[in-house]
Amino acid sequence: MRRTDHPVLVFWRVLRANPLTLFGFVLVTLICVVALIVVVAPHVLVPYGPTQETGPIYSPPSWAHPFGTDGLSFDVYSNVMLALPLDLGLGISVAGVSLLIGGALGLLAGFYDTAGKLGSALSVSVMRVTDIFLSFPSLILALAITRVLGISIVNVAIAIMITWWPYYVRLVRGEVLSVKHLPYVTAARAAGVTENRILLRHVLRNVTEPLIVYFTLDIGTVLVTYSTIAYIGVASKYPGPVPEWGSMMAYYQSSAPISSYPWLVLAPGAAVFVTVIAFSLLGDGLRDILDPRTRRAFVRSAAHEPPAESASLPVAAVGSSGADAGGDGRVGTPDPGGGA
Amino acid sequence: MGRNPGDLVLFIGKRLLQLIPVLLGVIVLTFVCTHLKLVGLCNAVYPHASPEVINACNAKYGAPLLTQFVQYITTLFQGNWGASPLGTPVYPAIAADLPATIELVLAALFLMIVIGIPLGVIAAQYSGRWADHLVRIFYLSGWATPTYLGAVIAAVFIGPALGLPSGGEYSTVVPPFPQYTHMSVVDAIIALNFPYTIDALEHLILPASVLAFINMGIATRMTRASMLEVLPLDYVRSARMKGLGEFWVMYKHALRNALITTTTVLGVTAGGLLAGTVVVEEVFDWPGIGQYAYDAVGGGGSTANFDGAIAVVIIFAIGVVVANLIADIMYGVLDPRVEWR
Amino acid sequence: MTEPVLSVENLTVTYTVGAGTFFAVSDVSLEIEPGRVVGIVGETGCGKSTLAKAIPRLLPEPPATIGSGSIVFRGTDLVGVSRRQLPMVRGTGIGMIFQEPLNSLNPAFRVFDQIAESIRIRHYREMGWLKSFQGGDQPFDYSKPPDTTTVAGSLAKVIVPSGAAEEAVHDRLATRSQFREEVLSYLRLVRINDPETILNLYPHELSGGMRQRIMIAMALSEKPALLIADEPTSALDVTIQAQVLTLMKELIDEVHAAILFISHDLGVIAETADEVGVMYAGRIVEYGPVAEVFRDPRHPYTKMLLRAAPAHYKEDGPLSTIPGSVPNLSRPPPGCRFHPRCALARAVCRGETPPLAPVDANAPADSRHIHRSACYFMGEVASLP
Repeated sequence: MRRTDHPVLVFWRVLRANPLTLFGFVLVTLICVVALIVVVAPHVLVPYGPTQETGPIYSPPSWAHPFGTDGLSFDVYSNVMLALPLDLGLGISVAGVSLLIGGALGLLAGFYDTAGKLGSALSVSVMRVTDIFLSFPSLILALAITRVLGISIVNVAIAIMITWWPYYVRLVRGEVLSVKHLPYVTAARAAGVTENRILLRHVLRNVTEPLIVYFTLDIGTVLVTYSTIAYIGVASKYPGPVPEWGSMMAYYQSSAPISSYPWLVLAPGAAVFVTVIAFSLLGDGLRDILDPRTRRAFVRSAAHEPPAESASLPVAAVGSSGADAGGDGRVGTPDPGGGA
Repeated sequence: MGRNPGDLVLFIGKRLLQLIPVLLGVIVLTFVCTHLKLVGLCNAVYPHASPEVINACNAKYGAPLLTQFVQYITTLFQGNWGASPLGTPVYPAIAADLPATIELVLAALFLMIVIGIPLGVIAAQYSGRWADHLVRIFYLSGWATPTYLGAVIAAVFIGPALGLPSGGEYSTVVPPFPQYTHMSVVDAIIALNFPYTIDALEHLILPASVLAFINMGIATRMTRASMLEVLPLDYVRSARMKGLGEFWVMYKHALRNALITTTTVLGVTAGGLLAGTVVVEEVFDWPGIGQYAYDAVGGGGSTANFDGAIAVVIIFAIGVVVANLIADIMYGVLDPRVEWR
Repeated sequence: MTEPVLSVENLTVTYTVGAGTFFAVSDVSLEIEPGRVVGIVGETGCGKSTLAKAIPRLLPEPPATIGSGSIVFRGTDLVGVSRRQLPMVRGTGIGMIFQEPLNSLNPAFRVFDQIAESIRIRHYREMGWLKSFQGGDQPFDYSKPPDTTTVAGSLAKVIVPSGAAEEAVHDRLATRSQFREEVLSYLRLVRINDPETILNLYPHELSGGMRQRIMIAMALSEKPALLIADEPTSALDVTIQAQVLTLMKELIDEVHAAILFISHDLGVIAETADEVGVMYAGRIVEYGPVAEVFRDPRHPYTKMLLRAAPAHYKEDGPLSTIPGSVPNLSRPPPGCRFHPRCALARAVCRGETPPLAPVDANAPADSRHIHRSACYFMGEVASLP
């Protein structure tokens, strides 16, 4: 399978196909840049410290305090901005570690499914454990584990990770199983290519794209889970040196009549919403291309291929677009339906 | 050839048998996860408890793991699920709270089905056009809304605006009729108390809508994807050529097949719905197991109830497993190509 | 001559895909009278399937567009009919049989339900319970009892063996058992041996040939005035193909509907059709009575197509092929679309598109049913090898 399109070009076509995906991409980039600025040079975007008293309490949104101030006269805007690197970082790192652990286990479970006695025994036990983990709503299990480990940000992150990796095992194993028996992999095996090379070259490459898409969506899900645990009060506390959106909301909700001061809950709430929807718009759009069922609609609207109805059109009529379709076909060759 | 109802019983029975190892695994896993850190466990769990509580706890959790596990599993099956630090037994409290949660989750599931699935059909019908984009924004908004944000907005801003109550099951603490099922609407209907039925529905609608909105995405997305797969097929054209109107073509012929995949995904949403009840029930003061869980894990700074938390985790896991079982059975029933074996 | 059931006039269908436009059907005219079978033959991609789907307006619009022309079905131009009224034309007006028996039956419903649905639609329209198509100067009225002097009536003759037509409509489907009997009668019509068993089966439990019979029964059960068969035998095994074809031929004799039969197989068309249109690159290049066209082709393409047909391949020696390839329909060649591959092509062929003119110079130019060819050198075709 020869790549006729550079991956960047494919990615750009995907973005162009759906305005919402493009919007999500722009938003994700913006959020990441803002988070970087907050970490590297906070004074550019964050006027006050997390627990710095600014004078007026419960002042409504103004130019000086875009999201107003709270009951201790802390600047809500500053706290929301300061929470961004933590929440985003947690989302990316927890999803990332889960991807590595779950991905590796899924790869093994999928690939050594029928190989040897030891391999298949390992594969079966990994899948049994995964199945059991998947039976729990991850939020509630993470809550219980946090309770046992003790309340701290790191412990919450560990607890979420413990409940998170099985989803990647299931996804990757499904992908591997669907790729494994494709004609070209069988051909490679028949040609004498070693199992390890097959694993690296063919399977890994086809598994990468669904993984990236799932990872993009997952960052938002982890973020929501973490901030929910914080809201319930089993993570970092607010006010404190490390503000967090979920705990901010919980604090404001319990400390002030929020119908009188709606900005207090709406600011951190909106921050979670905007961050998560940015990743969701991007990930959901990307997933459309990977899903063989929705890909057809995408190809129809974006690429230059005749619609399904005109299947009787001569191949020659499609002209150079045959190569385009081939490029897109490669993106989603494995059937993500099996894993997702 | 064909499938007869007798095979269905066998089919369900086999699926039920397959549950047993998973449930056993769930209990083992809960045990392992909650006994991970044995040193100083009791101090960590009950930071502000009296020395007696700590001592009792140490006596219980200080033994070797295997002994503890055997002890744990025997008491579990005896219905003795431990007690809260204040001495309230876990099992009766959970048993009393479970029906309210089931009612809430079923109401949310109902809303997800009647709203989420048609939205998926519309998105597929107008794929790539503005209706599709609007539906996508709608379900991704639900996806991106943390449960607490949705619940607080609904309880504080939307509820009062619509004149809907946002706390409890009824307007009075104790309704004037016996509560046989502990499901607010069902009890009111059994008592043939029409005003209270309306009242119970009004109390149910907001929390159920929040839960449904947040978990709608999967159902809508899956319906859209399966519809897009089904629509270009010849039998949809056959249905059109029969002279059926577009509504019947979409909702009878195409959706009937698209639903087969959507059903399996609805089983998966059970986890999200159950997890969502923790915050939703707390915000809406819904007397269910979610609120119990909120308190048990020490939500809002309350004293943690270790035994209660484990019990809730197990109950929720059973809920997810049963939901997946039902989805699996539904799949077999909906798709005539699946053999009941 | 009787009034044609369908008369297609200068129909052009294009697909807009990305920046390109594909001229799938260009300037096609057709006329089908009751009881006649018109075959359309051509290579894969010549636009015959698009034509078949364009007539009942089954193409998704967009990307398909009916650029110009008219599709007059029983006095009403379907091009102007609104999307909401289209279902009223289909089924009882125009029925269709698709190529893929694997996919054309809904996998989720039993055979009984699928045929019963068709019968119910027709019955409700006959009884006037469902709105039928009203529009054009000759509205359909399905509330009228079957009249044996019309097409629909002659179809009904097969189904309703005897009795006063008025009575038949009102009593025939009153009870469940009568309804079931009606469904069974259609299964018997398509020569299914054990209809009671088949009734309760799902499509996946049936063979391809059986499914195609059910499909035919389903289309016929609405008693359509026009039946479009889009390659009904192409996806079947050769032996099953022969069986279904035999059935189709028998049904054509029994059911005096107008039939548009699409196929890439010259043999199938020769056996079933009365008249044939040969399509190439979206145009009808030759038209006429089947025997005449196949015996004495007057278009170089038809001639080469006949030579390339496997049936023609008797002696040893190479299988004859047509040199060159099918043109790109987003940029069709100017003039006669066949000229790049044609042995007779001259300068004039690249200029104006040759009209579909009568082969016999003395014949009236406006007749639709005589042998016509769209070639400037139709007289020289016979001299081709």
